Amino acid sequence: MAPEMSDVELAKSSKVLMVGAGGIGCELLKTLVLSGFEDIEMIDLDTIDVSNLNRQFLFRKRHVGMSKAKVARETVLKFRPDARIVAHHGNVKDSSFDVDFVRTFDVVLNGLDNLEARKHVNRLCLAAEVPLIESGTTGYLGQVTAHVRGRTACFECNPKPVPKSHPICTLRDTPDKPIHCVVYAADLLFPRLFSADPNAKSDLDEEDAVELSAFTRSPGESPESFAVRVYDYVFRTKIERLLAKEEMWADEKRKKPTPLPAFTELVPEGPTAAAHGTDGLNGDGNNSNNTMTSTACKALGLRDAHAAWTDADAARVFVSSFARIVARDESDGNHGTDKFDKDDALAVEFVAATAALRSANYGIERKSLFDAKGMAGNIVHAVATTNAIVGGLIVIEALKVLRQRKAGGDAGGVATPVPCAPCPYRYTFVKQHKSNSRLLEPMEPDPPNKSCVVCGAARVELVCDVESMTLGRLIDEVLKKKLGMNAPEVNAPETILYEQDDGLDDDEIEQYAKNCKSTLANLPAGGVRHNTALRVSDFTQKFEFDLIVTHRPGDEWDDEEDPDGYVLRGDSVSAESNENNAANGENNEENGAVAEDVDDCLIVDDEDEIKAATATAGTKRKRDDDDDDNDGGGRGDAKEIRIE
Amino acid sequence: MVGGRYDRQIRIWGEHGQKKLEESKVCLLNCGPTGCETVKNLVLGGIASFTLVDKDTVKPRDLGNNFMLSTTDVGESRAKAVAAHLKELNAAVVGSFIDEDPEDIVTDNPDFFHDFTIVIATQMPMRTLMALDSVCRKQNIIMIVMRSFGFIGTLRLCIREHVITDTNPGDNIHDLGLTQPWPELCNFVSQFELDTLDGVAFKGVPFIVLLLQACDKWRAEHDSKLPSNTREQAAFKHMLSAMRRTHDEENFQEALNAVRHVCKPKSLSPTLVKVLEELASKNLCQSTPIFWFKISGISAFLAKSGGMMPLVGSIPDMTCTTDCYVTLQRIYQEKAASDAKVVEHYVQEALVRAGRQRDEITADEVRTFCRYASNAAFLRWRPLALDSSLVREDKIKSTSQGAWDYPLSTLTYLVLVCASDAFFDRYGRLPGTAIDAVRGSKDDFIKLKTIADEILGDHNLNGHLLDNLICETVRGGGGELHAVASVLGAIGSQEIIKLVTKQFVPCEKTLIYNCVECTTMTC
Ligand SMILES: [Zn+2]
Repeated sequence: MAPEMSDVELAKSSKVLMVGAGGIGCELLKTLVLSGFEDIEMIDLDTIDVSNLNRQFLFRKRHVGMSKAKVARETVLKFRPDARIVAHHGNVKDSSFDVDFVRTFDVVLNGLDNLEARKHVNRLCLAAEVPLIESGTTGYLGQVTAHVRGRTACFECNPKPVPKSHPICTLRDTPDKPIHCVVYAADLLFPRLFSADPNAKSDLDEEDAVELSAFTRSPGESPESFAVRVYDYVFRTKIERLLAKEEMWADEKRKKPTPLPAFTELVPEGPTAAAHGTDGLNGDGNNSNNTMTSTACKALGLRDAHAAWTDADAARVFVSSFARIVARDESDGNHGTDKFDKDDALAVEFVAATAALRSANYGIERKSLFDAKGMAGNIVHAVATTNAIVGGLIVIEALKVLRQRKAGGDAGGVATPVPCAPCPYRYTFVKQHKSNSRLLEPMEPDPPNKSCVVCGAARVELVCDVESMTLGRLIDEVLKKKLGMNAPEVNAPETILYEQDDGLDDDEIEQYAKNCKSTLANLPAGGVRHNTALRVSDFTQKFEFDLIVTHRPGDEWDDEEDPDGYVLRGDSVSAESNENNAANGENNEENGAVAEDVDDCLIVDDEDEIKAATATAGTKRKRDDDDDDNDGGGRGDAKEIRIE
Repeated sequence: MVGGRYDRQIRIWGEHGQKKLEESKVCLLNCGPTGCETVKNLVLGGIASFTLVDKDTVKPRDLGNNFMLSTTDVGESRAKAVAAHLKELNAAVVGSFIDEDPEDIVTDNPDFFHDFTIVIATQMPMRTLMALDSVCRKQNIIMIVMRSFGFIGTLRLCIREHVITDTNPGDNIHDLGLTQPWPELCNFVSQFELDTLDGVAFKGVPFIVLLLQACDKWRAEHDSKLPSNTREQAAFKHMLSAMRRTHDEENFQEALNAVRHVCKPKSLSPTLVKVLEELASKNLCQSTPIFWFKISGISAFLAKSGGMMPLVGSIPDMTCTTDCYVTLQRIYQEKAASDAKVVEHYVQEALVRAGRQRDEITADEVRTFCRYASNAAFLRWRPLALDSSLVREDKIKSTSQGAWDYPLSTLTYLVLVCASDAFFDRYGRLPGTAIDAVRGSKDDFIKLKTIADEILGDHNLNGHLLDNLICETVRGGGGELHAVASVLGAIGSQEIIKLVTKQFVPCEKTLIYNCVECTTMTC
């Protein structure tokens, strides 16, 4: 028997790709270098933010705003000048990181935040036959999983629950949870008021034409008068009108809202004083900088970000932050602020105040500024310790995978599985250490799922109204967003409907643009109708499948049940729209539906929850070590949730 | 601060937890990778200060496993070099170092440790650790012992006493206090005349009202008693169902699901029971931590209420009209406030009895405490000295024999760890760290195997450790693998944060981390 390579020799002779240089990435890079890895490439699109510094220890305050990948490399080189590290500041979905690029590596290590990118890397790794180690953390929870083509499940074999989207009518008329109020404030009201394009339509405009002016500033109107007018409209007039729609409240279970008092009643000192607080807002012709940078809370003396405001204080913050945003946009040359940004303090105040007032309308529990920010910005809890545990576990798992790969012949390729040999890989879950649970929970990986859309041979069914679903929406919402495709090509039986390629001629570009605007039924060559089979592929991901279209007329859809207006079915995509994921959905909501940060993701909850979740998540696994004293139950089953 | 450096972690442990972390003074003994990684994570989190104690200078081989050292540090004092790099991570943290042998300080100057909140002892022999344990114990300083060798890491907390207000239990079962409805709630309930309501209004009656009205009815028929056993509960449910008009009233379904709320008060959590037992054995005085005064308030409240905890004030979502819901919310919040007032009164009495200021604990603090009290916990770690003799012996004896082969059992690792400890104590170094590496490792193999066999013999256990395992241990030797150190250090810093913030439940036993199997075991 040939002598086994030591771990260091193994590391030395391997080339690794790291995707993500954030919370997990920093720890991972350090541990890779100190475990003997000498050939490392790393990709990250992000730049450094001050809130990264509590855990992304390769970055300093002076690096804020710079490329994570580049700074991480430089810092490590300062400590270990001989390490070979290539840093790419770019998007992993960029065409330069294609299958051929990935094939040059022995293993790919993911420390990524968003699901789309993770799906993309999964497909690249499958196509290139390079093993992938996936990871994620949130708060004290984390996980590391190994994905080896043909040997274990791929990252997408088990469907990932997607964040619940909230039906527009719930957000607009019948909210009943704090998250509804926050999403209303951040995603509906904020862009409607502050977008640079005054004609931008929004879901708030589906009303009488006379009300369209409600959200538009009149010529010569002061910022605070405009703010008060919106206050009176949103929290009073609109609510009164809703109450007048009796059919809406016929269902007694629905809690009726109450209009708030008029602004001047609630805030006796009046709008101007409220807007200015203790500092000047517009100055007197002499606009000093500090009036622009000061926040509403500072001006109003509301120091505690964790306190729930009274109605009056919420109204003050509403008008004050509102007026400040308007004044700021004006001084910026009216570029407007199109989208809520969690790092914009005024925007956060506006959203927190709106959500608080709306909660008062609907008798919903009120969230603090701090919580509202977390919910609106989809902020994930993150701490150095969990990332460090996960970073170490990734390296240990990578060494196992590399050892197997080398054993399979140096020519590369995946080791041929030896029948009956125990699977050497592990999924490892990091949990909270409660009296009855272990901190680390290793599990046997799942086998590949034969009916996985990505690595198996499944067909996907799309149920929609072909008279209203456009090809453009199908591409953007279904193929790109839900199925994580990068450059989809759509083929009808007789013709190409859409493709993305630099080499297209003008006629093709024009035709595809036209197709995108067309409903499915009106597409060329007879249209796409009930039971049409589309062939969908993505050459950048070496990924293709059949998409079967099932027609369901528009009047058969229920807004509440399927707010998207379509349903995807398929063995491995079905759970996405499945009610069974309610538990996951709620969990997501608590953390704000979509993770923003680098440390997010697939998580196994604590044991008590594990038991409760078996029925829903369906990913049953066996614990593979049976040897210690903590036999408190919860043996065996786990659920995966994605905080994404 | 919202959006600042600590924003993401404050979302886990709150501003109050962060404040405690920012008051922590950390002392690290020996600057190997395990210790450095531990302190690195704490510095990132924002502790007040760290002090590093190490007698060595930086050797080239240190660069192979310790990221807190760079090539230019070779030949420098190890404590000084690491301190400089750690300070880079967070300007708000004060750092210092001492070029001395930690073992000498433990023997010659034990008072040195009194200044610290936390002492992290890494790669130290057991006899020194036992001495340090008794020093820290006297001052109630948090001590954490970590050692990494080869593919194994061990971690052990040593604290005299630890109380946790917020254990983050995760479950969110509302205590509705329905076994003892109070006048305001009763008034609200009696406003509903179910017979007079139309169908829609009937479906909008909160389940709490349905339950309490059913209770009145039951009491009238059963000698003023509530349903106690399962048979009576079933009969009660039957009675409740009979009040329905149709079978799709969701409020009735909610009421049926909540019947247990009226039958008996929510039982106290085992952790709180342990806290109350501990309170009973305590004599509150000038030096008693305020936690115990708060708990004494809760205890007095329980005595008066017949076992019902002060209400938290929140109610679950339910099928009812907004008006009803808002009114109920108000009734519960007012009750929670008045319960907290009662607790506050008892707390003040206890403070006065102990000769302390009546207002030492604010009303706000009492209110917050009432919210978490039902899951409060109390932990105590036995002295290390007991670990190495009595308890281990007991543990080994009580564990079944065999299981020496793969997959390795906890017992195997326990014997291995004990043997390594004994080796360290006997030879003053870890196995595999002999100066002459080639001959030394052969020697060490025999020495370690002999010690392991002695331990097995002492405990009348048959069989022996696999040669492979002993070989691995010697090969890994004193060399701390960075991946192991990094994971162990991260676990260590996480346990420290749990202790300092007094949130979440820390590990009560010795934790063994095995990097090959990706497992943690406790014993
Ligand atoms: Zn798959």
